Amino acid sequence: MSPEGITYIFAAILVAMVFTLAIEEKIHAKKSMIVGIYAVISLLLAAAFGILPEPHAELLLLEPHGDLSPDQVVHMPVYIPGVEWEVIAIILGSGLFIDVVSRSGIFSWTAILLTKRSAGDPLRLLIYYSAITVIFSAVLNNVAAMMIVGSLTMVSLEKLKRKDLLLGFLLTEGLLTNIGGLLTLISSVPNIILGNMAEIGYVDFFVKAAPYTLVATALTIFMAVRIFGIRSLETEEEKAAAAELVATFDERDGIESKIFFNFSWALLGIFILVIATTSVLPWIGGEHGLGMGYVAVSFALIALIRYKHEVDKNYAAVDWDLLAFFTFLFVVIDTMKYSGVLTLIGDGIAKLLSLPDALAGASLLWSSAIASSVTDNVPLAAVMGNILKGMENTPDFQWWATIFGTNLGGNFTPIGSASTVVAVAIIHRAKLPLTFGSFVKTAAPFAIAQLALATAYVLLFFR
Amino acid sequence: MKLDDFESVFRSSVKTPFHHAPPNIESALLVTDVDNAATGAFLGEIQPFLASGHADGIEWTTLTSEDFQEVSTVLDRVRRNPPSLVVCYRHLLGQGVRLPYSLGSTVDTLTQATDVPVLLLPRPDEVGITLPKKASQVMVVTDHLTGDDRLVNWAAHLCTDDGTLFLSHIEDKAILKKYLDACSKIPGIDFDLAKEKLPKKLLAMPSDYIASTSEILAKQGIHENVQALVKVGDPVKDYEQLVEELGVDLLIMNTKDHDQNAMHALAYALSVEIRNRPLLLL
Repeated sequence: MSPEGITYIFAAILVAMVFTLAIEEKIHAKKSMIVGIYAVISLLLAAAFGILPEPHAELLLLEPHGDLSPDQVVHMPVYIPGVEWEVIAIILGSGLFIDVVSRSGIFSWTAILLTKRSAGDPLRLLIYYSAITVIFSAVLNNVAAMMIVGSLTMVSLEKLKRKDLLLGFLLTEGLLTNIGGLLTLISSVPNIILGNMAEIGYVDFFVKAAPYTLVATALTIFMAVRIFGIRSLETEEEKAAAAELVATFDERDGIESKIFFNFSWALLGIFILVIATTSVLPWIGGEHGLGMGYVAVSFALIALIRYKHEVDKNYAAVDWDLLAFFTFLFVVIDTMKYSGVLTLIGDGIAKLLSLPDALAGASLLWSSAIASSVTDNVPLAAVMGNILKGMENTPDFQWWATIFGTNLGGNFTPIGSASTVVAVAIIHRAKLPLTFGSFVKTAAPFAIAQLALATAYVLLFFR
Repeated sequence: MKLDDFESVFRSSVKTPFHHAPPNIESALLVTDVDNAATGAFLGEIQPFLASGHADGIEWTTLTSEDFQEVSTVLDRVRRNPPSLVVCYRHLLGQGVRLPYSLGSTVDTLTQATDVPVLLLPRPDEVGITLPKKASQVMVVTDHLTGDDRLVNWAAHLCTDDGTLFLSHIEDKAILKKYLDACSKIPGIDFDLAKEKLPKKLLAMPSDYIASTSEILAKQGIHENVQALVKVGDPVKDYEQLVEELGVDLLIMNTKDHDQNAMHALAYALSVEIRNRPLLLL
């Protein structure tokens, strides 16, 4: 078969995989299963067409510091080096670390404390919950942030007898998780993938993304107040009654050990500090350093000391579906690279990027957003990252346009990001009516405003 | 942690606080099956007992053997002009043989057919039993203490300032065992976790409520000495034992069940078992 024919066959496989991922809920299949099957098919076809690099068995070389000798060659199947193990280590380590630290009660304590500080006033509650959604999304991950703030929102509005505001609150929080996900290099998986490929440091990422996150959060809250009609309490009686109701929350309830609670705060602070300074740390940073994945896994193990007798329970809490999904996805993308699909897409994007800078940046941002609104933003980030990395001298603004687009596109539809899926799950759990169409109708003004702001921000400050 | 875990954490953090609202005991009706003179003497013993706490200035009326012969007369009187409190004893009107394990139809009717609290005293003619001079050791008994403000408010109102308020909750171990047995047969439930956490959570809820009660009463300067008695056990047996050990002067319990006419099971069992102490049946 001609090389073009092979490329088109693999392109069809990629499109089919993306489509299958988009309908995962309908076919009741987990992401890892879907992508795993496509990985198996892709590898087999790639081997059959003879497009895999030769020899497969001697692909990875250990410590390529000096001259190679036969005993330095590691024999490994072709699908092993195709996986971005640093990304897998970061996701596994930080996921496990955050899960263990969550059990100390520090996040629920913070969330409940802010609920009490709001004195039950809906507007103040919206502002506080929005702020913690963004911060938790940045520090934890979008899904965990949505689960914490979303479940507290459900309980607190129920307590305040304001279930009429629940839909507005949950939608706002869902939309803000993707804003918060932009704040740091490890806040979302697209950031990890694209940031690593673009070699953007943690601090550099934060400094560049924080101003946008701040303004976009304020804009989202402002729009939510207008669209969902969230108002402050007016009379003294209403204020007193609401304050009395939220006063019944006890922020200490979820804290099983005061020592572990304090330890977790300290450990979280050190984790953020170490992650932020990874690139300059001896033995950790640099080209041959142990990297961020090592830091994340190490901190997970330190936190696990508390549960050393039952770590199996914590391992069971790891999202293995997500990890398997990433692993298989990298394998699929690797075969796409060998089959020429990435070059094909890259050629198309190169035409887009040959437009004047402003138009190219805006097109890249909006097309990434639209693509990630209907499918998972992780494959998109992985494909785009590989393409941009393969190009010569990719300018900064193109990386940032892709980062903003892949993160914010999730706000258009209920399936656009994992955190909006969680938001919708909580909405349905509360038996509130919300269809795919009504989500899009409500969320579109927010998503368009956030993307317009992002476009202006990228073009003004990164070009 | 999963969505359910976080929701549970937040639901658990919502506490039911105690609201202090003392009962207003303006009037009391003493119902006896003896003549007016004996009733007057009996009233003389009851009044200081009730006034030892904060229930003073009560306007008393009596209904004696000279006024009624039928339960319906008492019921009509209470319904027509409801007092704040009815005071009586078991087996009024000498209802047949005084079976020890019953309260008699008058008390049964009063506790279930009206909302008026009934202070059930030991029979004045019972040999060896005397009414306490004051209510300094008051115990609240319920199998669902959390949110039972009414019981606690009555207890705080009737207990002497220097007395001890025992707020109790005994989780029935037989029922708990039944639920845990069921958990052990459901594949999706981590049995070890259920066995560890379920009793803890069941006891934490009344403990939190008692802590809230103690804090609020102390803030109002009413009772400094509030003691929590929270455990898993055999309610009837344990309460009988505790009442004796602590020298309880007054036992307060809820008798109303929302879905039945009969008296609440634990309250009935304790009412017939503990015959030598005043019982306030709400």
